Amino acid sequence: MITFPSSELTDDELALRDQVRAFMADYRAQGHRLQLGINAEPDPEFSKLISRRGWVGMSIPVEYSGHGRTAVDRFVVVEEMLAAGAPISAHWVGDRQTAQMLLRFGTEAQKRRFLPRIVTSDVFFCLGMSEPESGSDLASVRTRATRTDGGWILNGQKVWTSGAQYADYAVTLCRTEPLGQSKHVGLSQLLVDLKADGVTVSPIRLLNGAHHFNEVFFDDVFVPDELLLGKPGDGWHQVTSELAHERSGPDRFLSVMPIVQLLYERQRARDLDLEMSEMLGRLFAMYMTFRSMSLSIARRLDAGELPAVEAALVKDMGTEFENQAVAVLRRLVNAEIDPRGGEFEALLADAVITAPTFTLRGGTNEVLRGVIAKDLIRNRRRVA
Amino acid sequence: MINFNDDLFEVASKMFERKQAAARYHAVEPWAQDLWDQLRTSGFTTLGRDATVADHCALAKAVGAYAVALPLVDTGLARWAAEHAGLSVADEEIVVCAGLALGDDLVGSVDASGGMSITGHARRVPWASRADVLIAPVRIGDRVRWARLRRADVDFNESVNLASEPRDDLTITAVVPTEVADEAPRVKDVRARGALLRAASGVGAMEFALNASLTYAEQRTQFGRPLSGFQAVQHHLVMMAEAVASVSSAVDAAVFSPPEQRLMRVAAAKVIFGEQSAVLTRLAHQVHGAIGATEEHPLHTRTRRLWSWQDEFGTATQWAVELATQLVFATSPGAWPVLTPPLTVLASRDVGETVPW
Ligand SMILES: Cc1cc2nc3c(=O)[nH]c(=O)nc-3n(C[C@H](O)[C@H](O)[C@H](O)COP(=O)(O)OP(=O)(O)OC[C@H]3O[C@@H](n4cnc5c(N)ncnc54)[C@H](O)[C@@H]3O)c2cc1C
Repeated sequence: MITFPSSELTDDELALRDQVRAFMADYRAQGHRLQLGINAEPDPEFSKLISRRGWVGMSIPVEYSGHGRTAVDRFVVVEEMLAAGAPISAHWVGDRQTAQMLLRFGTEAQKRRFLPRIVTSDVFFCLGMSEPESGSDLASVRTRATRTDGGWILNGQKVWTSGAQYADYAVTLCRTEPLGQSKHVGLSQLLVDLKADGVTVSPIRLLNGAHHFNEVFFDDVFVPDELLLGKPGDGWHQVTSELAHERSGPDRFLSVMPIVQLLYERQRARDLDLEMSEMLGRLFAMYMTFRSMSLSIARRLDAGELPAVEAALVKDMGTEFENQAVAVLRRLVNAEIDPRGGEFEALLADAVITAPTFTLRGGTNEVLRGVIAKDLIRNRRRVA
Repeated sequence: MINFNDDLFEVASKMFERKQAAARYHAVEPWAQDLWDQLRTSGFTTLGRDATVADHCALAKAVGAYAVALPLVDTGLARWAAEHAGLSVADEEIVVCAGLALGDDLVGSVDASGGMSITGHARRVPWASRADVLIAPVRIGDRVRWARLRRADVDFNESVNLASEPRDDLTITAVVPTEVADEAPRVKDVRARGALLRAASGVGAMEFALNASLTYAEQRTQFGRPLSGFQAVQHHLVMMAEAVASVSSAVDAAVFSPPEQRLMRVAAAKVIFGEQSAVLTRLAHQVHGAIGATEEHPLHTRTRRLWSWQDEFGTATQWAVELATQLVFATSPGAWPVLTPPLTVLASRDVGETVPW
C-alpha cells in the first residue's frame, strides 16, 4: 500500500529552519540573484559557505566527518534553500545521493576518501547515466569497462550530464561484463575522475541557452580498482536502491517557489480579486500537500525504509504541479513576459522556458507511472 | 491507507461489510433501521466530544468506503458541536447541524417576557428530514449563539444531493428553541470540521473506487489481455492512486495539525479533495467502461457521493479563497513564512480561544 503518514517538525527542526531562513535572508540582502531549484547556476563558493554552517552532508555519520543528523534535517535545510532561491547545484548530487550511495555500497576506503570532502564541498559529483541510445531504458547502456592490471579501461559516451563542467567525479554506470540474458546483470558504477586522461567534456546548451548539461566522452580512460563503487556487477541494484532519496525531495515541487514569493511581494500592495485569490489558494493547497508527503518520506528514510514507489509518486505529481504552477503564475501576471524586465520577469521567463525539463530529468513521468502501476497491480494481486 | 484511527475504522468497516453483503448495493438504501440500531448499541451514533477528531474521521472514512446511507457523520458533527456549546442531546435522538451554509441566516429575537423565538432559513441541511433535533447558530443582536430546535417545529422543503442523500431546505418562522447556549464553538470551526469530515469520507470512497478499478482492470480482458496490461489504463490507475494518496495525506495533515494551522490545513484538504476526487471519479468511470455507468454497478454509489461531497461544507473554490486570505494579509511576511512559521512565531502565537477539535 502507498502511504504517507503525516508528521510535524520538532522544535529542534523548527529552530534549524529559523537559522537557515535567517541565513538566506541575509544572503539575499547582499544582492544575490534568485535561482530556480536544481537548474540553478552552480556556485561552489556558496556550497562551501553553507558547508561551514554544517548544512551539506548532514546525514553523513560523524565517523566520516559528517554531522550525524537526519534525513528530516536535510529536508528542512533544502526546502528552505529552495524556497529562498539559493544556488544549490554544485553540491546537490553529492549531498542528495552520492553520499547515500557511498554509505550503503561503498568500500570503507571509498567512504573515508570521499565522505569528509562531500561534507566540506571539496568534492562535487555528477551523474553519468544517460547515453545517446539509453534514456528511459537505462539498463541498455553501452559504455563499457574492461579489466586491466589494477583497474578498468573505460570507453563510451554519456549525455545530458548535468554539472560535468565543474564536477570532480562522474558516477558512471557502465557494463563490466558482456551483455548476457538479462541486461540488468553485469553493470557497475565507476567513480570516474573527470580530469583523467581520455575524458572529454563538451557543453550542450539548454533551451534557455544555459550551460547546464554536457556530453562526456571516455576514450580508453584508466579507472583504478578502488574507484569501482562497491562490488562489480552490483550497478543496477545500486542505481535502483537510491531512488527513494533521489526522487522524493522538495526539489521536485519547489522549483518555482521563489517566483511565487516575488509575486506575493509585488502583489501585497494591491487587492487580490476573487479569481486571483482562488488561484493562489489552490496553488498553496498543493504546496502544503506535497510538503507533507515529502516530509513523510524523509521520516521513513530516517526509520531505515526506502519508499521508492512513494518517492516516484511525489516526483510525478510534484513535477506536474510545477508546470501547473508556472501556468498559474502566467495567468496571475496576465501580460507578455519580458525576459529583460527585472528579476521577477527574468525568473518567470526562465521558468516558462525550462519547465519542460522538470518532468524529464531523473526519470520521465511516464516511466515513474510505470513503476507505480507495477506496484499497484502487484499489491492488488496479492490481496486478491 | 491512513485510517486516522485504525481500530475504529476496522470495527465500523466490519459492521458495514456484513450489512452490505446482505443488502447488495443501492444508491440510497431504504432507511436501514437495523444497522442504525446496531451502530447505536456500539456507541457510534453518540460519538461526540469524548472522541477525537481522528476518531470522527476514521468513522467518516468507513462511511465513505461503504457508502453508508445513514446520518452517522452529521450526527457526530452535531453532537460534538452541541456538547461544546453545552446543549443537551439525548442518546436516542438523531441530531444534525443547520445553518452552516454560506448565506444561511437565523435570527433570534427576545420578546418582552424574555422568551426567545427564531426566524430565518437554512439551506441544504444534511438529513434534516430524518432528524429529531437540529442545532443551529443564531444571530441575537451582535452575538451568535447556538440553539436547539425540534425538527417538528420547522418547515421543510425536502431535496437530495447528487447521491440522493437528504439535503433539505428549512424555513423557520418564530420557532421557540428548546434550549439556547454559548457562542462557542465558532461557526467557522464547525463548518471547517464538517469540511474535513466530508474529505475524510471522500478518502474512503476514493479508495473504494481505486480498488474497484484495479480489480476490474485485472479481470476484464480485451484484445486477449487484461486491461491492466495497457499502458494508457495503467496511467489512469496511477493518477487515481495519486489522487487517493494526496487527499489522504492532506486530510491526515489536518487531523493531526497543530492548533494554529488547523483552519489552513482543513482549507487545503478540502481544496485538494475537490480537485483530486474530480480526477479520480472521471478516471474510475473511464476504466470501468459502460458497465460502470449503470445503476446496477456499485461504482456510482461512491462517485455520486464524491461529486456532492466536493461541494458540501464549502466548495474547493470557496476554501481556496479562504486559504489565500489566510496567507495573504496586509502584515503577512509572505505566503511561505505563513505556511512554515518560525519557531518564535509559533511559540508566541495567540490562537484566540483554544479552538476545540
Ligand atoms: C535538465 C536535464 C538534466 C539531466 N541531467 C542528467 C544527468 O545529470 N545525468 C544523466 O545521466 N541524465 C540526465 N538527464 C537525462 C534524463 O535522465 C533523461 O532525459 C531521461 O531519463 C529520459 O531519457 P531520454 O531523454 O532519452 O528520453 P526517452 O527515453 O527517449 O523518452 C522520450 C519520451 O518517450 C517516453 N518513453 C520512453 N520509454 C517509455 C516507456 N517504456 N513507456 C512510456 N513512455 C516511454 C518518455 O517518457 C518520454 O516522454 C537530464 C535530463 C534533463 C532534461
